[in-house]
Amino acid sequence: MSSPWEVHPYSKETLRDLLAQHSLVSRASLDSKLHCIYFDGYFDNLAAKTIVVEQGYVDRDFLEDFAAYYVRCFERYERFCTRLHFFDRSFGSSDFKSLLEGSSSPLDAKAVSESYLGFVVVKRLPRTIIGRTCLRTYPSAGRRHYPIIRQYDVSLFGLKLAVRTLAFQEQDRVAAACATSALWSAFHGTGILFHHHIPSPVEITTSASSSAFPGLRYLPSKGLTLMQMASAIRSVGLEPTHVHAGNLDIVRDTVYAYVRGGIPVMLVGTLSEHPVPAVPQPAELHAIVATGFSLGGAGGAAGSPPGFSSISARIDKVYCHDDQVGPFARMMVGGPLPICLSTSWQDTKGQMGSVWFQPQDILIPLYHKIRVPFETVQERVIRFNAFLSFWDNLLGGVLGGAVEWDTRLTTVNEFKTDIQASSLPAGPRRLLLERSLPRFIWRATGSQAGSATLDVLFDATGLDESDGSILLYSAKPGVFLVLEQLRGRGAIAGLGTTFELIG
Amino acid sequence: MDMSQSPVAQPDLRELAKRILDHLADPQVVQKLADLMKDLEIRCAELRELRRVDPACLQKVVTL
Repeated sequence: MSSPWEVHPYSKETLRDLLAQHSLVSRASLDSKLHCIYFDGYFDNLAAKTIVVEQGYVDRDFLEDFAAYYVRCFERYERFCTRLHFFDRSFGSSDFKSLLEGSSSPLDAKAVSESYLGFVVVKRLPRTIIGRTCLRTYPSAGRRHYPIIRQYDVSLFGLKLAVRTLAFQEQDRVAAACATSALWSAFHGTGILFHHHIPSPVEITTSASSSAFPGLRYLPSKGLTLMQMASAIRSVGLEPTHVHAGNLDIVRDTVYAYVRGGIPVMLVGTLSEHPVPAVPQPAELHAIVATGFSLGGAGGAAGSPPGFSSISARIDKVYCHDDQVGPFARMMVGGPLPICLSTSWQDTKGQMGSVWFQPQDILIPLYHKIRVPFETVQERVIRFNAFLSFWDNLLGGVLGGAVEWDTRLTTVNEFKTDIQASSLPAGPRRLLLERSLPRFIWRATGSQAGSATLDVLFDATGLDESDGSILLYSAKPGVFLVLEQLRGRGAIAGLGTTFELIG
Repeated sequence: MDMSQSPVAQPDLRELAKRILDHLADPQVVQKLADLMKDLEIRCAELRELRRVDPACLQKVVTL
């Protein structure tokens, strides 16, 4: 009987050899497969040293796809997969064998666990072979943010391993097209946050296709409409929020507000080559999931409207699960087209760097109690900001000058955990901790010269039309005073009159 | 809230409170603020328009 595991030193060539060996794809074609090129860079960055091959792995998601489609094919496809595990520590077969046998070895379970980088499930299929993939993210380096990641527990022959990430997989173009793969990754994020079942790709395609749409058979899946994507979101008990990506600020603001709150944001748009090739390709729609972002650049970057400064304007890269590239694929914001992100796609000449993603629609899967959308809150913050600025000018700068706003969705638990960890004075700290608040909150934190001086909370579960603000905390006596005086004489622009003022 | 703890109670801020009241009594200031908010309403309406979803796009097929 052959061993159910193998240990190999990591190299790009070894990884490609293993992918070819455990799938039905030729070794030569893997050299041009975008995922392989992407993994080269990814594993270099993670400093991968060792691969452990786990054979005969049963992957729940693939098993569902297999039962729904592949089992009825005349060709005998394999239902078992292979799982490749990656480690940033060097060890060999004899070390791993000793570990499993419990004999004395320089390799212990703790060292294996600490060096774990994650896994890639390889499906024994002819073209689309990258199954569920859970890989550690790049280090934060003070600018990369991955608020959606969660812990995936892994058992490797009884070794308890874990990786904090968000699952990714390539579309198989049978049970899942790119829209399904995007939804699948998004549901891995929302499933834990909102406690819903995480459906397999074929379950997503089936539920999406139950809504009326003429013309397209659902298996093999050639794609989903936005309406079908919305149906799939409803099928797990969430509500789809749909926004048109009318400019780059809208893309950045929306990605920041929800992703910062742990909610994946799906971007649907076209891919186009620039400069335009001699034979232009038809513009087809592609779906990706924003799972993180990088905040670069100087503070106080200009947003829209003029005079309103938002931290989201500092996003220089969005990290996306692009099913045809890889997990957390880096997409630079901006480029030669008015609303675009860079991609790692290859152009018609097989080169990277000239294919741009132009987002058109933004789809956000939300828990049904989150009723007030980001744009409503942003408008209130814009008004309040202008109001503050007006009075600051009038009063000779006593309010501290320009404010940079950080507006995002959060929960009462996260907010109070933040307050617990803060160095607020005893009085407001206790008031904020004791205050009864809704489960979901929009929180707008205003910073002046790099220090947070204002916090405004809005009820995300309330009425879209109401003033909605419920609480304002200001660390600055001047701001507190002005607001206290003005509130008594009428509504404060953007906030109304009913909020509680704490200072 | 206990107003004795309010910053208004601090002597150095009483002057500020008085200035606020003076400004509020000035019709020009009130008008300027009203104009600013009117301008913002226009800008926010433009933002809403940019975000507005075309119902026809719901039938677009995401294929790649």
